[in-house]
Amino acid sequence: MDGAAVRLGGRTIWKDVDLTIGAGEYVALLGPNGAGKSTLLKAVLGVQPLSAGTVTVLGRRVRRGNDAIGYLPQRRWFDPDLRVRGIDLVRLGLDGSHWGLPLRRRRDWRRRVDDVIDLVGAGAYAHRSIGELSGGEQQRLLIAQALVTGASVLLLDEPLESLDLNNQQAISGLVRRVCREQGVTVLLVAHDVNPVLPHLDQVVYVARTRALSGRPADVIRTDTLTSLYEAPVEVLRTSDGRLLVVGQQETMSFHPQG
Amino acid sequence: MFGRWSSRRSSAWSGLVGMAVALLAVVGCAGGTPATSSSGVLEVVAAENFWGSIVSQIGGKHVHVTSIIASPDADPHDYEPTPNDAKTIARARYVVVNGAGYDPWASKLVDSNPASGRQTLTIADLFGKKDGDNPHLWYSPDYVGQFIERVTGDLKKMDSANAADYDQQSAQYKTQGLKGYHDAIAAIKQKYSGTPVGASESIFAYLSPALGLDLITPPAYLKAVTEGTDISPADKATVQQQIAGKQIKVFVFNSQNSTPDVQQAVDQARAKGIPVTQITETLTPATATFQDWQTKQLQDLLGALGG
Amino acid sequence: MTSAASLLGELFEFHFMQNALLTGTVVAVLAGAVGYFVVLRGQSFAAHTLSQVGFPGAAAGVLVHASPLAGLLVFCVGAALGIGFAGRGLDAGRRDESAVVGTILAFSLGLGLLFARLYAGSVQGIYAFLFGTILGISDSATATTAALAAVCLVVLTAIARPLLFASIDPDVAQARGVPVRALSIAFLVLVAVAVAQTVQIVGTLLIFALLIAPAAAAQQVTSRPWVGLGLSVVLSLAFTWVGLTVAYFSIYPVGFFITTLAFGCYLMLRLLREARRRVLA
Repeated sequence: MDGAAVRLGGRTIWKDVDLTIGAGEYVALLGPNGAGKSTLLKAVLGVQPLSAGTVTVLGRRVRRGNDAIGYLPQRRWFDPDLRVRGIDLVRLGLDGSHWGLPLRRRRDWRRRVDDVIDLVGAGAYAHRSIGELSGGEQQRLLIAQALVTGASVLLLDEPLESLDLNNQQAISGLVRRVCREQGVTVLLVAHDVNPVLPHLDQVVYVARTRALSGRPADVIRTDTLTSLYEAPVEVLRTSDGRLLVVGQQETMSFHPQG
Repeated sequence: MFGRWSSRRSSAWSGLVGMAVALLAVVGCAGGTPATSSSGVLEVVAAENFWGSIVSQIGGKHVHVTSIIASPDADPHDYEPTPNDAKTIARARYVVVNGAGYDPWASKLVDSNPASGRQTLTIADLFGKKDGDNPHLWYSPDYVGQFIERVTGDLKKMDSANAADYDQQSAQYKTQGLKGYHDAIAAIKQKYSGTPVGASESIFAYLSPALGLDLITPPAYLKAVTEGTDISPADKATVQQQIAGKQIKVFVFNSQNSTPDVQQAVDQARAKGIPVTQITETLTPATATFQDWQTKQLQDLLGALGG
Repeated sequence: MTSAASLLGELFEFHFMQNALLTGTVVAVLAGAVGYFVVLRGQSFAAHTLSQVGFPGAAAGVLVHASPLAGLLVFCVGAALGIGFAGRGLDAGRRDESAVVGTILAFSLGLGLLFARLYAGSVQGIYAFLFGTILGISDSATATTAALAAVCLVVLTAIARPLLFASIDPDVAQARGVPVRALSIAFLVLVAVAVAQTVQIVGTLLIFALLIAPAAAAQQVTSRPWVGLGLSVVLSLAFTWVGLTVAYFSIYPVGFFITTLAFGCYLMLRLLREARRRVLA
């Protein structure tokens, strides 16, 4: 991103954002509620147009429907009565945007779907109705859907929200595995950095219309965050190694999970 | 899975195409249904039993008349025809339909099964009545008379061997069968010409001029009740005023189409001591002849007017 | 063997039956296919409303001295656009769509009352135009229905995959380049056109039996999308053919048999599914 800015409804969400993410990096997007983290993700995705500046992905301008980018939106739920299988959902990730009848039989697509489902470990329940599955199971399938096009960039918007601790660890482990083993660049929006902190290459901290990026140790510090928030902010480390950010009226998004 | 889907889809499509081809082949071969009259009896279908009754009395033993609306509970407006009805019309040689939007299903059944040699009489066309005009043509003695002439002519053309019988039966019907009917009409006209009366719907609107009675209920009210649409408050008030002020001598209501509004007017009339007579849309009872049914109603009306 | 052949022979003896079976087949395929998506998207209420706006549409058409069919189509498509635009395309079948649909329904019924008043002709004529009977389909009506159904099916085939995607996963579909909102509106217009044409032919009762019940029944049986779609079409055809055949040899109207079959089948499959779930749990 270079000098990027987004204005929505007369309000500047963020501006003068410069950041660079290298291939295969595991990056967390942090910040308080309403700071514009999802908006930044959508800008990379190409569905949120910029008011200023540019954003390029893999060397090219962003556009919607880019097969190289996989996307997991926030808070997706499926009607428990929805009669569609998980594997069908993953398949739609591959050809759901194609019009008309399939021109030729794509057996290799079938194999690709099976492969990606195995990758995320959802083989046991991929043939069940998606509405019947638990949150963690659904999330695995949705990650599979995001990756099925052979994406090299994976954007996840709060993937661990509303999951219990076990599932959070499982999913964040899965994401790490995908990143390292498949070489996928991961940009993940999180409420709490702690589950993913050990694996991060970079952190992008968005607050008060500005964004700060860098290594976690450099960004999540008392002095850095205080200057970002323009208000007193303290970063504490708990006895078991977790980070805790404490501040004033601004909604503090870091809190120990549990 | 995708490959399987494609093959399932395409086999489904080819199955459908195959079925369609088979259907078309049968349709092509079968063509239309020729209307034959077996054993010399002319098969006639009337959409409504009041018309059917007249035709059967003109045709006598040379015709076999089936009326589709034959029960007092059946409503010709929203009648749902059964396959039997469609078969009967398909096989008939002569079909009598009221028209003017009264029985549209009947015309549809006629159109869906073209048959060579079959003749259809749409009575509304005889009198230039179109969709939107008052369709209750069987309540007009004049139209009934013209209907009899037309049917006689048609029967003679279709079955010229028995033409003489048709002429004789028709003449007999007009002079004797309908004698009571015409007498009652004459009696009312002679004694009560010019009397203001009220009615619940337009079914009475053809009969009142023939009787010389003055139907003062607002036409919009009559039409609304006939069609089952909303009656405007102004019209409702007018009718109530007419009853309250005893401006009408008699209130005539169609007991087969009685809505709460109509019932209210009837109750009000009775409370005011205004005689109420009942008429029906179709033959009552279902086994009655046209003339018996109409004559009884006319005599009731005569009695209500004062005998 | 001979009795089956003679049975078929009897069935096809009359031209009205041939037309009924032919047109019934066409309508059943169209309704089964379109209905699958209607049920999937939870838009049964919208589909029902689109048929109700037919009356003021036809009446309006006659009032301005155009054909009632033109008025019918204009109103149906207009209502579809209204529902599509007022609701948010990403929330097909949700609460705010229900509210919009209900409002449009009330408005169109009111318009119908007004037009009935203004229309000097008989409203029965409009009802008759609108609510056809499957036994009274002329040759020209058979041909036009087949042509229109073909067009609708071609359009549906073209949008089927993106429509499925947008129906169950609108956010990601949007991100993957599917025009979710435009597709929602286009689908409603497709339903409007299909309903408007077929309601004249077979009447409202049959259209709903065939639009909703086979799809709902199919979705009780399978959660595989294309299998479900195919099953919906097959069930729709089965109800129509069996219903017509049984009615033909009985004295009762056709609509009763088809709707009873459809509802009965749905109920049975639903109960089976519930029973299976309890047994497995």
